[in-house]
Amino acid sequence: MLSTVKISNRQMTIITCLFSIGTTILVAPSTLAANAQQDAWICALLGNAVGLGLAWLYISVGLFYPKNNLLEINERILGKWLGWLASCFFLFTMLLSSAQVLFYIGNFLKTNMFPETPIIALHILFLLVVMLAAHLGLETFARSIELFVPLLLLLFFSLIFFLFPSMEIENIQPILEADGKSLVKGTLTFASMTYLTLPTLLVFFPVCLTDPRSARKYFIAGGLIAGLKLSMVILVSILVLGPDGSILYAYPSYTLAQRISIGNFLQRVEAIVAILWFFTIFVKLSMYFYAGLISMTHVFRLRTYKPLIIPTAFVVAVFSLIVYPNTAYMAKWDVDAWFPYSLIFGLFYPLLLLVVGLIRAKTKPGRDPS
Amino acid sequence: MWGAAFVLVTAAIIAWFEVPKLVRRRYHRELVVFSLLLLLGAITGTLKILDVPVPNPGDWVKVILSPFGEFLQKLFE
Repeated sequence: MLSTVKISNRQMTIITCLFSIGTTILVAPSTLAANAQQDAWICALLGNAVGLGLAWLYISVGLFYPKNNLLEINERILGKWLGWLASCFFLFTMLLSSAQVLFYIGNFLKTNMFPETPIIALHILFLLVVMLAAHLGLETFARSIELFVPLLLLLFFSLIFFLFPSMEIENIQPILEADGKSLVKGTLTFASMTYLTLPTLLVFFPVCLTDPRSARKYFIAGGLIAGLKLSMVILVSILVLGPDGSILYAYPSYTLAQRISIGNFLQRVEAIVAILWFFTIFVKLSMYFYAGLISMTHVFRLRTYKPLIIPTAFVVAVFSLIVYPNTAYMAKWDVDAWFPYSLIFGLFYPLLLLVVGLIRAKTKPGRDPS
Repeated sequence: MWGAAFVLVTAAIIAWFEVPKLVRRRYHRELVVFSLLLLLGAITGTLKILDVPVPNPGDWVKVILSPFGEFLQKLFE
């Protein structure tokens, strides 16, 4: 079903990049500044080094069987029953994450732009686009995202460029004041927010690529570009708002956009800059949702995922109000539960696949001709 | 009350449009999964609107992972 879909390596880089930026761009500055104050940007840069290794790990797992997606790899590496259980775990993660990401965007919109609108209306509107993306398939999705890349780059760099006048170098001084432990914690937090969700994309890559041989390079590049962009946002946020300001605001990168003021003329452009977040979150949510649908067909052995789009969206919409009842719960869950959960999903699970896969490849030299 | 009715009517409309297609194509497994998902959505949605506490999967994750989470917290303190 998926094998007929083909997208180019560049499109994969774009999807990987926007997927990793995802919701992280909204909350990363405050979470990291809470860990390491003015040294948060150092954490982010170190986190990219960790992320490099993680991206390498994921694409290595994917390239074990370049003609199978993650769920088939589960079965081929872990065996029928264990593989099925791993797929169930994957499906659960996808649905949970979809609901959570949906709450993220709904909460952001409600807080900043639509205070009177019921949050479920925003969720349903956003989900309609995601359902359409899932209905039209990955090829259409990748092409339309590719179209928007120049716009997104323009928005991103204009955000940074227009903030130059309000940057103050004193805000990041003294450099390296944070002690080793908070630096390590910040680094791991950054890696967990940015990179540990990437196994999701193994459902599509490298199966859906026209040229899987060079996939490794392009996949890692996508992750790294995302990490560097996020590091830039964090650095700018600390330079402009200071460490305390970055912690204080729920959405520091949005507050940054509000601070733009060029000659008392170019002001209040935050809504335009918010388009950037819409796109990254749209990519993230669509990928979670789509991967959820695909994993559903594998878990329940179905022929097509198309009839399931509407009921799954229904479930996701309902659970988006349940998984995070309020912002305080969200903040607590993201610290207490997300970090260990993402370690299991993004580190132990792919590591298990890699190790067992390597052992299998050694004992039984019957790998896929790639 | 109206919200709950709205959820149920929405679920009914979805079923009305989708089920005949599935039956016609003899997609029986798909039909079962479709119905289960729709029921899950409709029931939890109705309960949520009627302010009945609905179990939160996030809580399960939190409970299951709490030993591991505490271990990690100790590591960084």
